[in-house]
Amino acid sequence: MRFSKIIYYLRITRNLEIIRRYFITNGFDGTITIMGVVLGNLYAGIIEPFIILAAGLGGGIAMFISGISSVYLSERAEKIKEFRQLELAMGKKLARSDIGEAIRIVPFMTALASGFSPLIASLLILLPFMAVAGADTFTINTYYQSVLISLLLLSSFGLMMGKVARQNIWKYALKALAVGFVTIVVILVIGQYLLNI
Amino acid sequence: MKKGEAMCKINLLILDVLKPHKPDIMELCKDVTECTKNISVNARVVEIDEKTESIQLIVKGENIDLEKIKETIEKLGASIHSIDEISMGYELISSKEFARIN
Repeated sequence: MRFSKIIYYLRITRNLEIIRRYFITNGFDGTITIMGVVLGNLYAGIIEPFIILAAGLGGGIAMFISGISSVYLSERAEKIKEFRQLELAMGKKLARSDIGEAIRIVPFMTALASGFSPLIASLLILLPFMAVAGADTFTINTYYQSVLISLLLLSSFGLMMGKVARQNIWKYALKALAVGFVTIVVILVIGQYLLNI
Repeated sequence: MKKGEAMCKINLLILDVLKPHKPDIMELCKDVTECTKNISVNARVVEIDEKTESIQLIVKGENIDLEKIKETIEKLGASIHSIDEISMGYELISSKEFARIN
């Protein structure tokens, strides 16, 4: 199927905005989650890259499958409901029209965007650990690099949100970054508390 | 040209079309224009409801293929409610002339 046809189907079902929303929400969600996993490993004193990669990739794959399946099922249900209402308003079956074809394809495209967004985010966050995957151990700098990538990803999602809202993009990026720092502080506080027990 | 063929040539069509809000009027006009050679299309929204809108579609040309236009409109999820005006034959009779005669 041609790319322009897919865009056309997304446009006539007004789904471009929905895809964008799922992409940003799930990507943001995935970034915070994997950053949490990385920081948790830091507090657990893990120095073998394989363990962090296994935990992080496990989380990323789980979010990919969950993002795809949940969004596909819920979006399909919503689209079928809208489609039936439109058929009632038009007083005829629309299964063989462009809208009928779009209803079959659009939930799948939405699901793909929603699944790949956290997976790509988690792979990017785990990149520093992949770079040292061959080694037995690594320095704390690898952790810092990973957290830095997470914060960069969060600010990119902030920029996207600012662009959608057509407001100051840097303000949104700072807000997203603030969420990242709050997460780091909360994990640090809990981590310190657990270490002191 | 076979005998009588010219008589069957449609050169003006005014259709009452019911369509969902999407694909929009631009898309409808574009697709209808592309379905037959040398035609001009004019579309006007007559009524808007919650999920649908009624369109008055004027198609002008030398040899309008009604079946093809019908097919295109149906493919977009819309339907022709009625053919409000049609002009066939050698020469296009304008609505003004029609009104004058009546």
